[in-house]
Amino acid sequence: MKPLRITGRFDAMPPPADWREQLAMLAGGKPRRISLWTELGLYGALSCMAQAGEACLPPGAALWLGSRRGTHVATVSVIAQLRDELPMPLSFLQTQPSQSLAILGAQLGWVGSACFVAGGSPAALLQLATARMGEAGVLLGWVDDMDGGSSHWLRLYPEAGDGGRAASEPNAAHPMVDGIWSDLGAGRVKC
Amino acid sequence: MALDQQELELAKLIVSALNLDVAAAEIEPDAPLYGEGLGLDSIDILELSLAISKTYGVQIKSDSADNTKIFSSLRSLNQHIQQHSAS
Amino acid sequence: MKPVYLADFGLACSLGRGKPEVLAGLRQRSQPVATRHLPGMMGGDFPYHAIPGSAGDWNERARELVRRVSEEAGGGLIRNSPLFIATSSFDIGAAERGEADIAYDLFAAKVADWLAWTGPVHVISTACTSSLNALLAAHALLASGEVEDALVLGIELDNRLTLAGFAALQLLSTTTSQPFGLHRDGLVLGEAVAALRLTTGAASRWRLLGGAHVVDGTQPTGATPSAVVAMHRQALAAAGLGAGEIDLIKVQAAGSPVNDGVEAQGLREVYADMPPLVSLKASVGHAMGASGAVELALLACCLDADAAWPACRDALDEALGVTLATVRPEGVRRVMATILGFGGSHASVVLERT
Repeated sequence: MKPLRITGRFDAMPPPADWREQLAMLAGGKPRRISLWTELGLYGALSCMAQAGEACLPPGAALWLGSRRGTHVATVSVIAQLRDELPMPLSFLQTQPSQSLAILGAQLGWVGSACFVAGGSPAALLQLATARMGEAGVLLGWVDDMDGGSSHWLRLYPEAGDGGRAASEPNAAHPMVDGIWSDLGAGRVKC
Repeated sequence: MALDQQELELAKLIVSALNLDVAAAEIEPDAPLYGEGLGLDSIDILELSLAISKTYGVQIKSDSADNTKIFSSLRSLNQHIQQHSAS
Repeated sequence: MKPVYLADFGLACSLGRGKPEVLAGLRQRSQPVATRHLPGMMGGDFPYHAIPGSAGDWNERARELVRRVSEEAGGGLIRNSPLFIATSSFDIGAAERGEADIAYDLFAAKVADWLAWTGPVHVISTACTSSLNALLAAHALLASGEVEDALVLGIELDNRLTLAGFAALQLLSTTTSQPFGLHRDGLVLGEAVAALRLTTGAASRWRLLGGAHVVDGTQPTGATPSAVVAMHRQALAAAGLGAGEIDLIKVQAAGSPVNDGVEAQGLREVYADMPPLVSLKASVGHAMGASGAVELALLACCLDADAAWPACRDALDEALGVTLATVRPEGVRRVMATILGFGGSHASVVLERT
């Protein structure tokens, strides 16, 4: 794994009681038409960016989002709706995790490369995100809407001028990136 | 200008279907629904079209050339629905 | 950066199951398209590119298709390598019938179990561009030298949710998919399973040079001209090529009234001298999360010298200023393959014949 520099970090598990007010402040208004899961993502991403001291994501940066349950709630609701009629268009869109990437991008005033990884582990997501990381780094999130909600975010840059370190251990998480991001075994698919 | 009963019903549907932060009775009957005015976008219009089809049994196609006129205001939308609903 | 090759591939789509059937299906020129009925005022009958000759319940059918396709790609040779599953609908078709619980990890474990996969499993879901994003993620991992092999498996199988969602968004045609067509009136969806086996271990006929993904959130259900342009330019840069070095572009061109125009506009801006274009949507439908994998596999089939070439039966929309190649272009070495989709997602990869 490439050597990394963490410039922003945000963990909410669960978020504080006033998180929606905080989100409205960060986003410049109350978001409309988005699911709880996307709202939690937006809250964490904007908080992480604020923590990193960046107003917007540079175009060359990549956005990676992962989740254990993702759009589960929207999917169950749409399956129930479609027994006798078409689902509402927005309800259907909310079953697609990539809508969150679009909403995050629009909110960050950013157009660039974004990817959603369904399930697995935060550490595996970190590995995929950093394998393709450019100079502008990545904004990386792991978000879930159950158990009161959780939103974990990292703003990472490649560490300049260190080629050799950690290359011998391709699957080891970076020692600086601890917490939920370090345990490659957690939540990993067992075969 | 006050809304009549049918327009108020439609205004309530718009507010609830689109989760708008505005009271139904406060929607101006002649103000534009798109962009300026109520501030709806293309996704809102799709959402509203489906809600209208479920509530009134009136189909409004997104590619209809008349859409700009139909959605030009609450009043024109209500007129379109009343003209096309099976009564 | 190590060179990454497409070692082999497998596919199942409305043209058939496996390369020989698919090529035979393509030669027939006229494929029977199934119909799906949706309830409600905005429902009705919609054409659907179903995979032929499949029986059994959803899981049984999926298992049979996934195993067959993975085997065709040589997936059995690399079971301890990373598996990238690309899908927008997971096993929702089974969940709708009460035959599965909706949970990402259960789905991943089920597919891994079908394939007796022992390596890490990643599930990529970015709607229509899932397969190309899985391919880009796998490419990065292989090019960095972290692993030597990977399998990208696109899975998109019969379910009502996707079809009904597209119908609710009024994106579907009730007749046929007409890429860049004068009378195009929407998409026709399809199901597909396709596997692309990648390796850095040995050279093969096609090398994956890289690609790009551009998300423009200002248009949540469609493409924007500026993002189409950015995607092509970034993909060219990633491949180390100029626009004049592309010999063929597999376009999205699904027959959408608006999106086809947006794509054509972007293409005209990037390619002063337009290379030949091909769309595969009329042949296999739009297979959402599997579309990138199945269309790359089909394209590789079509580019073989004695293969059939996708028919282009409909009158083109001259106002778009682009045209589709009616026969296989000669001497194709470098291919750009694009998928555009939901979430303002624009993805392209570049392949080079070695």
